[in-house]
Amino acid sequence: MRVYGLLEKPIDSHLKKSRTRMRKYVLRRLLLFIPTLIGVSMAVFTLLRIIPGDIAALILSGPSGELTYTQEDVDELREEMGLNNPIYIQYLNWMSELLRGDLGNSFVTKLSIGEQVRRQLPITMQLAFFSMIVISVISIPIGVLAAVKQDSAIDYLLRSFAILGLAMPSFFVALLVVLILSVGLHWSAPLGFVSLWNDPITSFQQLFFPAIALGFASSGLLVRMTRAQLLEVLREDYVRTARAKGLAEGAVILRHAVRNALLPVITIGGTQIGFLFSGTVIIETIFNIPGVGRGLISALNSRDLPAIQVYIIYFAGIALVSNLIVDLMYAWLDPRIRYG
Amino acid sequence: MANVIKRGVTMFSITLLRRLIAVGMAAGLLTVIACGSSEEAAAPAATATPTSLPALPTIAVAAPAATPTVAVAAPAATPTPKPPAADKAVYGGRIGKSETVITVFDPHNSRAGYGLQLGMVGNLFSQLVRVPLDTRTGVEGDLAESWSISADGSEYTFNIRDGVVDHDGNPLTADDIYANMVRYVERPNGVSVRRQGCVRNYVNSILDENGKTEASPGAEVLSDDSIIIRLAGPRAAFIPCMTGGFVMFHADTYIKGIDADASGENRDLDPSKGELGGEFGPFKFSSVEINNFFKVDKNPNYYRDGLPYLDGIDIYEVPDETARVAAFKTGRIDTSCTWVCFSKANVESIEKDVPGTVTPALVAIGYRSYQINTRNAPFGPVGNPDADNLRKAINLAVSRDVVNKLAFDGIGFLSPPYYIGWDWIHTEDEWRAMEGYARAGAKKDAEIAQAKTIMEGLGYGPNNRLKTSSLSATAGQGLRENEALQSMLSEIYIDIEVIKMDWATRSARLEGFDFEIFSDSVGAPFVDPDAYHTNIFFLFEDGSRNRTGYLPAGWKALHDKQTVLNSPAERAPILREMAAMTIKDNFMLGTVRPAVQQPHRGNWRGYVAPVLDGSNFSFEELWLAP
Repeated sequence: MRVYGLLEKPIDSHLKKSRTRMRKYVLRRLLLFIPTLIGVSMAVFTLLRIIPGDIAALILSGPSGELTYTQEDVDELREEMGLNNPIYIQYLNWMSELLRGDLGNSFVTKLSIGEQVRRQLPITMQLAFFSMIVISVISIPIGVLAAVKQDSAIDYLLRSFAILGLAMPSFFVALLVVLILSVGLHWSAPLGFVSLWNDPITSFQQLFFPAIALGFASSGLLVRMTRAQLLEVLREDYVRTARAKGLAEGAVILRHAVRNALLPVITIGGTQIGFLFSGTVIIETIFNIPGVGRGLISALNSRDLPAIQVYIIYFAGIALVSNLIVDLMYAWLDPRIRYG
Repeated sequence: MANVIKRGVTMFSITLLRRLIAVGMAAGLLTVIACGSSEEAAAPAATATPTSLPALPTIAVAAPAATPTVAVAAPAATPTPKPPAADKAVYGGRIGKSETVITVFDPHNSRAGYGLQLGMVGNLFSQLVRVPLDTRTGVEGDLAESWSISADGSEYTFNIRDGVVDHDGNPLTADDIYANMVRYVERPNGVSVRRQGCVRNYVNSILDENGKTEASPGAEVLSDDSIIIRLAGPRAAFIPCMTGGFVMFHADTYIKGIDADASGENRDLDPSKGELGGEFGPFKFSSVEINNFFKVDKNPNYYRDGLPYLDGIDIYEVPDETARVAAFKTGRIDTSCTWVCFSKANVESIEKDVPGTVTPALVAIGYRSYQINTRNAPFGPVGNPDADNLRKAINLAVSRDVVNKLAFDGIGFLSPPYYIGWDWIHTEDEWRAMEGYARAGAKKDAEIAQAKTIMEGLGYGPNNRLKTSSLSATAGQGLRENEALQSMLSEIYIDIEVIKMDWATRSARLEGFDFEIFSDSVGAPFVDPDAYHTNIFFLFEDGSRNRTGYLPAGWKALHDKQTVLNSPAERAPILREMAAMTIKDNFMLGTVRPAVQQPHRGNWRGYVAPVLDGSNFSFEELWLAP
């Protein structure tokens, strides 16, 4: 038989309430996904169909409008694509298929878009994961060093690095990396993407530099965040107390200061997940990585409407999920945060 | 206290420094890993383990005496890299190649050119007849050993080559050819075959609505090794049409299942389900990952003895030009895709950084022309003297050399009403003598002066300039073309507002005839004497892109008349008459036919660049000098 202490029961009850509140919050947020995704899907679907020009003719005319076609070809393709139906019927047809888990087939390749995304998603995830590692490895030590060496030459140098990261868009960093590697070092990553599990070394070669290009901008932000937060924490009373106890400075900084300073950094880092995924659109194209981002560009170039719709909903979904994860992480890391 | 803090900071710094060094070493290690294979990659994989071959095999194809001599377009200006006389063909090696997309594997399924890269499956499949790979002119048998034509020119009997097996070892029979002909003509389950339109248009129906054989079917198997193909009437362009790069043949077992699919849906061949293997070409399918790579290996049972030389071809999807340039320069690929892959600036950069690079120019499918809307004043209607003179002045002022230089970086080809490769219609010198086609120089200057005089006669001058507009692409060659026109016509008192818009918006304007001038590709103004593309002549109602609102009286009748004549000698006068009608009315001003530059490494031998729309892209005769 368990005997409750004086304070144990109220705390347990408080935790239960807190968990219930959290569950409700998560559920509410998940339910909110539905109207948001419907809104995105309607906007994308409508926009793609009200732009001027006959989509069937555009597809038939080729990527730069150089190919021939007959009216018969256009009519046939319009019928095949269901473009002769009213737009709301087209939308409802598409949505009903989507809800049944059928993402449709590509107009161009006629292959299943679902299979396409399933093939591409792990590749993009690998890149994003690598990029997160790069961000962590670069930004946290540099931010800590800049704070510890505040206003020294090292600090100025590292802050310049951070500002450079913020100022340079990822596509520019990517092009610079390609230029330096191919022209300066006469090297480029092996072609034909392989997964990390099948061939780790080749996969590393293929992902390392794209991950740097992708993570560079986010690193700049996080270096500045880490530095600012650590400087603030270093002035807190408990840090002074730790020093007064005679703890070594390294221990004070790493055990007491950095741990607390990283809380908002991690939160901000979480918000970068969405940016990372959107950045893959350009980075995957420049570094020739066959992930979701390159898939979107390819679909746009070939005006592959069903694929474009799925990709955009995918990116909207990533943004929603990453925002939710950040909110939940915030609550998990800081028990003072409560969601009503 | 201060000392304690200082010591602590120092300790922390040391610790941090150690960790940073560790991170740096890790990064360095990664870089070493990354760069570790650079030497291996930089060396062309192509040159690995070549072995000597005693002599080049001689391929004898018996062509019947009755075979008509039909000229196949060949680019007069295409540089042909000649192997040094001392070189001996060697076996071995693989080459790397890039394509913009790796998705479609069924050559009959290409809805548009980009969907199927001939350079990819062109090495797997065979044709019935083809343009010889070494000369790129004329016609030779491929799966067909020989053929004969009936006296009235409407029946072709093909005799199938002996001993041909597909990549799975099954023998080729006339049934395989028949199944493909049914595909082209009847389009079961809506298979696209839109790039084989000339076959579809020329050949008689094979099956009726109930799937029963027609009375005079377009294809009929005579025996295991012969098949007869019947046309609706004599067509001079039939054999050239059959040499078109997209007219490829599968084993029937590989396509019957898809064609007979009860769902009525056509789909592509799926390599992951073992649906590649029914091809007969010099290379056989090895492995694929959609949107990633496609690898083919040498076919040891290829029906041309001793071929191919290469062990295989590794094709990678590289859609971005920057990545392609980097891959070429660093030795990851040995050539590029067959469509527009490199700008001239990038080709020059590659040639500079990779010594020995050879860059043939492939003549592209599209022609270019300025189209003038003749529905409204001041450019129309045709027959109104002022409008006629205005269009004439514009034609005189357009310098084809200037367009070539400004819009095509000087790599384009003159594009009068017939491409200059068809010199059995007119030679280039004859075209150059015609109004508007003079080279830049004194004669062109005189034409521009004449254009000015015409404009002044129409009441225009420095203080009374004609204001008009042209619809343009937002960037690239399309925009440069319009800017060139703007610059050229400025000299004859015409101010053109170049309206930049994306293709979708432009297309909507064109469909509503809401324009004055625009430039277009696709050879819309011209008849294609070899008829690879039956809709490349300017009958708007047939779906081609003549937006001008005008077609000369009698032009269509002449066109129909020449298509059923087999002899170029008989056809040429008619085609010349049609060209004269086009030039006289100046409603579509042919300018420049674009070229595609396809760099490859300098150790390639036995390779002649193909004519883009006229032949296949096989690498069967390519070998690599050590």
